[in-house]
Amino acid sequence: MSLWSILDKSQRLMRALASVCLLGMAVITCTDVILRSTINRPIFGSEEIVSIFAIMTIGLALPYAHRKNAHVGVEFFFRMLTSRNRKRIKLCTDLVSFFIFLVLGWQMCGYGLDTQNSGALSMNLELPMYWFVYVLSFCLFIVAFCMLQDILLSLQGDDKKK
Amino acid sequence: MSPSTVGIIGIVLMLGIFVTRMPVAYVMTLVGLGGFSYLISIDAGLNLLPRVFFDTFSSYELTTIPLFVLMGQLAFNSGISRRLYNTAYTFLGSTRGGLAMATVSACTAFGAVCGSSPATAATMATVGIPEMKRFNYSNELAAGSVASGGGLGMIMPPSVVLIIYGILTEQSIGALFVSGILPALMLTVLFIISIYITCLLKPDKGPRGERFSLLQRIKSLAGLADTVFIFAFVTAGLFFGFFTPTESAAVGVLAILLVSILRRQLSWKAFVKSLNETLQTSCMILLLVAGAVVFGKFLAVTRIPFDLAAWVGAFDLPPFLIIAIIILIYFLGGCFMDSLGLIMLTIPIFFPIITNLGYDPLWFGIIIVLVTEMGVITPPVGINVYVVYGVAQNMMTGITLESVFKGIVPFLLAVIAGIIILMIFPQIVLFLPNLVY
Repeated sequence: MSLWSILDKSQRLMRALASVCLLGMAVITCTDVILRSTINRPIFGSEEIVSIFAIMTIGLALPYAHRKNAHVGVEFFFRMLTSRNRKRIKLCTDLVSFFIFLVLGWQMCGYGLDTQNSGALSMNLELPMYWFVYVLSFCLFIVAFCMLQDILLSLQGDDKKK
Repeated sequence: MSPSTVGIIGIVLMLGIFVTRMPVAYVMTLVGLGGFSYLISIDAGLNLLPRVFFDTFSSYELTTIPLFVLMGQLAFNSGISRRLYNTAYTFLGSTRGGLAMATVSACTAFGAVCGSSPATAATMATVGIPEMKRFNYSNELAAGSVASGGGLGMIMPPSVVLIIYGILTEQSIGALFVSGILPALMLTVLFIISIYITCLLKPDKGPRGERFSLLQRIKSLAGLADTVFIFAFVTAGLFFGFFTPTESAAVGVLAILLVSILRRQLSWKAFVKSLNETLQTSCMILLLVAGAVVFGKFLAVTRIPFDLAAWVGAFDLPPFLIIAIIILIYFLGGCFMDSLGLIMLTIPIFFPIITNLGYDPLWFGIIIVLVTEMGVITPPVGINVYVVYGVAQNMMTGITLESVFKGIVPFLLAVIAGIIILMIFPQIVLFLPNLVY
């Protein structure tokens, strides 16, 4: 199995997990509202649980969003360029984006270490938050690898989508 | 170099990089990080980056966005739009241009459960264009009414743009949602008037459709029932303080799911599609928010927003002229940039000016949404125009891109009239929030 196919499978698995977390956000919040308004017993720390689900949802879905090119960019001027220039510029912006995510993943890892060393816990449930920082860092590295794959494929002249 | 000079260089550099089509979120992060690191230190910049991204992704307030997006996607994929259209059609179809009026009305109703403008346009294009073509409506009126009507989804609560504006400016999202209701209804009426005038001048553009009996019309109201119920439940809970915005979004998701399952109108495939689309949109928006926060930190260090506010204040220009200039900037910016990106980029700069001039932030929020509504239908970017064109092409209706752009002209005039009315009568925006809060 090649590295790229592992990356592809990881991205799909991460998307499935992100979907579960997204639904988890809705289910936890609704259950909290129902329990609070019927038997006056809200779920303890529901906001924290929802926030954790939110990190997981967005973090795990980042590689999928990258694959689907789900980002806003200013198309108008770009469209005026020749196909060759477009490819060249795209390669440059892909490289810059790759470095942004690499730095972001590396810094997130450092932030996780800081949080772990400080022993910081969440306010209500007292969960060790550094685990989620590490998960986010991992997701950012996966996005960076997806970008690297795009760059390498582009350099090989193979623009077809995985 | 003074911080202000660094700030101006940063803004110019950012605009320059935009031309390369690099994602707006990444550009704002890159320039924000570079500028902040230059003015403070590289260590400070690198420390800022993970904190901003982690705090943005874990923000409880921002969890409203994926949930409202999911609610809209479920509504989009479960056929609610067709029922809304059918109801509007039985009431308005028999008048000249009535199908276009029905489309616009259905867009407003669909906007009440879906906060996205392109999603509303795509849904209504699928439902409305074939009907209008069946009754020999002109391509311009058919496509123009759908593309422009889709923009109503941005103003009618729940609106993603209003949520972002509320978070950036620390305004109550509930109050912003309430503020959007009357302007959205007013704009619907203005759109209907512009369709009426268009058909009065050129009757062949929108011939009369079928006539329905009173009984049929009353029966068709059942198609509105679930939308009215969900909208009332979600927004009333939010307005009267039973739910937080996140809770109201989650309840909305559950309500749409229940209605769709009970009506057997949501297949597993459509459900998975809704989840996937939600993940894409949510990532796009939250990365934009994180990028805007990094860029905002840089701008705050440069003190440009405050200096600009003081500078504008020193000019002694009449406030309405300053507002008009800001609106013009948003309009021009909206022609080239996505509305969310534009709002996130400019609110930190313009918001201090607005508050300094004594304008109500709720009113300004609605005005900005209206102006960006123009952006989604004006060339060269006009996302709704491309969405409608894409849908029309798939259906092989023969609608050209040129005819869509031609078709939006009467609606663009209606939006401009709406902005002028709201500038003269801000009470239209503030009446409901003053009543509820």
